[in-house]
Amino acid sequence: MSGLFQEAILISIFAATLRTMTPLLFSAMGELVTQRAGIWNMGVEGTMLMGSFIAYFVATSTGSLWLAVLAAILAGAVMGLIIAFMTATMRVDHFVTGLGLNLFAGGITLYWFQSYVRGGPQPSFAGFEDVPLPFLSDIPFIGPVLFSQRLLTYAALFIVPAIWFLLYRTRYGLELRCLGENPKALDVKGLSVPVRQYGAVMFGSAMTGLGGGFLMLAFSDRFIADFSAGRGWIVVVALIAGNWKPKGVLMAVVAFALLEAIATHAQVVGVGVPRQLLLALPYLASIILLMGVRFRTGQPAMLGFPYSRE
Amino acid sequence: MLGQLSRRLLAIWVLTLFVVFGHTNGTYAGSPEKLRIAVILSAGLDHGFDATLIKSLERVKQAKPHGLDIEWKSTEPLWGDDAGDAMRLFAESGDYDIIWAHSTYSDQVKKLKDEFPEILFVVVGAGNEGLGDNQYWVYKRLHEPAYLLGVLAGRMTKSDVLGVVAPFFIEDINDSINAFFAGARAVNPAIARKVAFVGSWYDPAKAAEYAGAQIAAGADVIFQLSGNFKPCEAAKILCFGSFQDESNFSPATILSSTVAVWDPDLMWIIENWWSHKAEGKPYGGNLKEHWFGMKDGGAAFAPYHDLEASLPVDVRTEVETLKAKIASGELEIPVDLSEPKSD
Repeated sequence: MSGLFQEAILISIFAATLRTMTPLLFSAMGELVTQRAGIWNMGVEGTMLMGSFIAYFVATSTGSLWLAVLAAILAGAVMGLIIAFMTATMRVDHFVTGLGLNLFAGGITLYWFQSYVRGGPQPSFAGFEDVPLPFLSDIPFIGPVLFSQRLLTYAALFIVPAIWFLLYRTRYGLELRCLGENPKALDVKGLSVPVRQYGAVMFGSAMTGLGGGFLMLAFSDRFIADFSAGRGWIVVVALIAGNWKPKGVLMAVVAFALLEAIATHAQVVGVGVPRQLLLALPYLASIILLMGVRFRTGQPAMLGFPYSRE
Repeated sequence: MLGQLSRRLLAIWVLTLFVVFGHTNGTYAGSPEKLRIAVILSAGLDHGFDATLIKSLERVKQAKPHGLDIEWKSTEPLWGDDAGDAMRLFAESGDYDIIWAHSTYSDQVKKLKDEFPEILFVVVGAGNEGLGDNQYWVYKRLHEPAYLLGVLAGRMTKSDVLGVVAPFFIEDINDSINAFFAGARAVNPAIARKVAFVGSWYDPAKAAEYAGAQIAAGADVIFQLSGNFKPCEAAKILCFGSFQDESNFSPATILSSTVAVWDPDLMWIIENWWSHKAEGKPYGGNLKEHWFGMKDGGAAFAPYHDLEASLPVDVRTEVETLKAKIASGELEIPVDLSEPKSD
């Protein structure tokens, strides 16, 4: 166990926490906006996967990582458009829509990938590298943890206050929250519910696409089927565990990422805990968090209910 | 009248017996010219495990054993009941002679093998049950090339700490990990081991985090069995690939890889099928694991590509000598299935 407390390992654990939480945080903050607008998007996993694949495709075919990021964001927005059309316009059950979209994304990305590589060796790409901030990255311990990350990780840290500001300090944020609590109030004021829901879902899904793109461009050198490996579901859990509040969701994401980083390093340094338990640790914690918030839910009242004027 | 009826009944019995047994054994009359193989894939063609099989199938098709015209059809990755349903569809179509289920599928084969006794079923790797009869159990052990990678790692490390990132704790992964460390310690007894199991076949991002943690723990050479060499590039350390030559993912860091070669396994299966079809010998599927090592061409060691020049000549010579000894049978690498652990 003492191996975990060596300075190099502690730095690595905290740096890994920030890295691991980046794609989750982008997606979770986006989905927070979506869910506060009353749309229970279960298609996070598929949207993240789509963002990852599109980022891979653009990065390997153009060589531009930032173009790949932009494409992942757009791909996410298109997925959001589909979800919004199904839920806000067609009023299809939100869960069915999301689950269907996950299946669609799993199938179509695999088909596109196989069509792209045509049985040959898959092209690889040079992904994002750490960008140490001058002077700050030289600070002992804190420098390598906080200031030697990828650029998008720095951006992710700013997204939480930005979303908080959007939701709680702007008129649009007030309308968004109203969509999830009482959409009829907006409707009787002559404000379009579907238009705002389209905007919220497309923004949220674009952020999830960005998360998927980051996952590909910062962590991997290849695409494989179901690349997102369940991270979209972790985002859904983080929203519930975080009680649909920016700070709560941030804490849930940090807790998950930290536990995963500890579990990873614990296995490597060889602590006397069964590795099966270490692998399950972040998921066990998620279940415990969910149990903890069961009786103090801040779930929007109309979350998951298709809005109809009649 | 009764005698005439008996003769008719006898004739009908003879005809029936001819139709039933004559049909199933009718291949004795002439040697088959075609062999059709249905392949149930388990991971997809973007994974070394399946990709190497398809490459071997292409080579065996060119080799035309017994002059056979070989065709195959492969599925998308299928598991459980889906795989069982696909096998049944292939079997009922009557179009396939061999159903090659490329992973742990003996539970599915068990339900079909007696119903389709003329079809030769193949299952592959750890977790299967040896059923015998018309089920053959192919195993792929890459412990010999992994030992050679270990020798390279033991010679090239400066920190004396080696890392291995693997998907799961299973027999035909443990054998490679243990052989890798055995090779390293054979040339450098001071080696410390760092082992991590990702707990997933398909999570390159997580594999990267485990590799990163090993680098933080001092590892300067990593045997990556879970794919993803990005951490090796970031840390500018040497890495090894697995199951196929993975150099194209990171030519600057991947020194070599273990390589699975299924050609001898395919030839072994085709020989068994041929013996049954052309010579009437009953199937005799193996009950225990059966594998072909480097000596028989079932496992290999990928070339160094661009990194060859950076490798000291004496290390290259040492590895070549060991490789020759393994190939000749002079050096036998023990199969160690014990749980690999970090020091």
